[in-house]
Amino acid sequence: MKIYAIYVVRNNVKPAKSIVDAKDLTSFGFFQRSSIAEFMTFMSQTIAEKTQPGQRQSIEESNYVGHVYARAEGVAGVVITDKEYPPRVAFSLLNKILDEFTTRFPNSANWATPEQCPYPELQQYIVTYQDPKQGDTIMKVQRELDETKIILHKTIESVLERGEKMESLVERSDVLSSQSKIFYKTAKKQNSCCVIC
Amino acid sequence: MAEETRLANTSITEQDPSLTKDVLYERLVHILNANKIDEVAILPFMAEPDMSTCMESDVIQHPYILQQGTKLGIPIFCWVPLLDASYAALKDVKRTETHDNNTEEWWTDPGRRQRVLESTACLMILCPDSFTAINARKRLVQQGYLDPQEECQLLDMVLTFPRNCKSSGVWHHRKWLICHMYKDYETSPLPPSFVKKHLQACHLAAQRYPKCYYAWTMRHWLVEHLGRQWWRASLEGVESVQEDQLSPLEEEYEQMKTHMDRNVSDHSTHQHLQQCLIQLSGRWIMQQLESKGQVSSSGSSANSGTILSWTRSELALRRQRRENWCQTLEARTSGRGHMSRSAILKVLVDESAEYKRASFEWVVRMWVHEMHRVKDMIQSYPGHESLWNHLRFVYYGLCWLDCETDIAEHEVSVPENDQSKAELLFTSPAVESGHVRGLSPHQSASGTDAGNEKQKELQDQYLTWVRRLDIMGHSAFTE
Repeated sequence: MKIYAIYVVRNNVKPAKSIVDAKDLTSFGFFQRSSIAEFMTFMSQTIAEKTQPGQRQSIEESNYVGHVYARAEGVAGVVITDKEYPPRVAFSLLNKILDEFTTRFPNSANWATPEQCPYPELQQYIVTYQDPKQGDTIMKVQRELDETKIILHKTIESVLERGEKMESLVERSDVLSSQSKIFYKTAKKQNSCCVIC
Repeated sequence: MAEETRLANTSITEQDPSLTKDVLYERLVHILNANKIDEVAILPFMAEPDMSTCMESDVIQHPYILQQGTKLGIPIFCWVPLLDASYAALKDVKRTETHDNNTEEWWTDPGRRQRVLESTACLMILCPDSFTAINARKRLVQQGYLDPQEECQLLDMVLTFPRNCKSSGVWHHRKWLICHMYKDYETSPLPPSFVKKHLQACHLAAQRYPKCYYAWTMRHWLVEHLGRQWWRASLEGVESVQEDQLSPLEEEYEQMKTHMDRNVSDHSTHQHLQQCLIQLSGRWIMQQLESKGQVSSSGSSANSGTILSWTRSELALRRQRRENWCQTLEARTSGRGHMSRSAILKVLVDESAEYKRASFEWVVRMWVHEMHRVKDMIQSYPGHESLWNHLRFVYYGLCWLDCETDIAEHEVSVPENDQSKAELLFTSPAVESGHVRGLSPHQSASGTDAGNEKQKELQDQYLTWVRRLDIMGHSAFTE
């Protein structure tokens, strides 16, 4: 039960671009951390781009699950967790973050760099929400979540457009360094998560 | 695996002809000697040496990557040649032994000792299950040429590579070192800080490689040691030792509770938590056995096996004994009051009372607390089989405690207006099915349909189990 990363991604432009993020990668080995960070950014941007405004999706990819919620304003929130983390808490957190973010930075012209959107609370959320019970108050209030169905995808491929392949996206991506690409390929072959073990 | 094998078999000399296996081995030994490495990783790529900013030290290190002076990355292409070279180096030392017709053992010569140390350190990292290497190191420890504490640090480093966590060799070596350092560990307690350090190593291993059987076995062993030393000391009345052993045990219990919160479906965690519960109840159990004369007061004849060998037939007997005991008491008070059938309810009557550590009341409260905690978690995270299994364990323990009769000061009768409660036990199928009915599917954290279905199935299984346990108790009772 772990949150690895939270992203706020601008997805009304193509390609989608991460605005602010917070990560907790302490559970990974020293040499994997940078690659995993890049991979998570890549995953967040990819799935945010494929999510329509108002839509909620959970997408599994190897050992991670990316929960994404896109807003009509043109931003999407992505929370990357492990498979055990309760989706409802993840989506409540996304609601909260996107509400805060859009009230604080309503002007999309300012969404270009993290400096223009200082959002230090994100770092705090990733610490607090490691324990889903912390979001307990949220767990009770979020009745409206039941109304909107959350779409669950078993692989990231199923959110991609026809003809698109994960491998080719990884290959073309400029977010991922060449080392991370090799890490991804090795891990993919073994069906493990960017770790040779 | 296929990709990894392919990479590992890619010849490194194809990529850089200067990197023969001897060069690779020498450089690795050099790095290991010159730095205090605390983390290793195998990298699926070769880092390009940046010739423009390259310092001489970097060239010597190539193709290894050393960062912050303590983190070592080994490209996977080096694996096969390195293994080859390390084994060759180790064999070479032994060969000199026979060639020179030298009757002296290899460890008497400092030069050969050093070469054995270097080659085995490499082997430990690359393949920790190579017993030749481990045995050579054990020999050095035995002869006093290698500090066992330092050896433990090497093992900690070896474990940072996740795959090495499942190597039985590493864990056995660690246990061997502990037993070597403290030869009288059976009778006298290990230093608490030392135990804590090793518990921490197990904890890190569990995080890196969650279902690591050897790490959890090691941890069980340590906790059992703490438990045994604790009740032994307390029965002998050695106050200081008692405290030393109890506090790490309690810390471990607390740590497991947090760990369980984060790893809900990890059976290993739950098992270890159960081990902690058992050991924390150990003193009370031993006291009882002692009072019944089943154990000598020195505790030497009692092995840990006697702790919590709570069989089902014994449970039935205990229920019967409790029932008879209540009836005798009621007869004695000639119908003026009913005795509570439940020992636990009596303890819980007085919520605010302070109890001595490790007394019956203390043990009862710990188990009842655990019961509430696991039920709470079942509510928050539905559909996890591991939680329901843990609940079975706790329920069983509480059934056992509920039938306690040997506590004299608990001969408190139930107040007149509360007589309906007298027949009730704290643990009963009625209470449990009440709890299960109270689990509303809407309040869960992940209210997916699949989760709800699974939860339903699990709660039915649990109730069946509880009822069968009850029937068993009663059938033995009527016989």
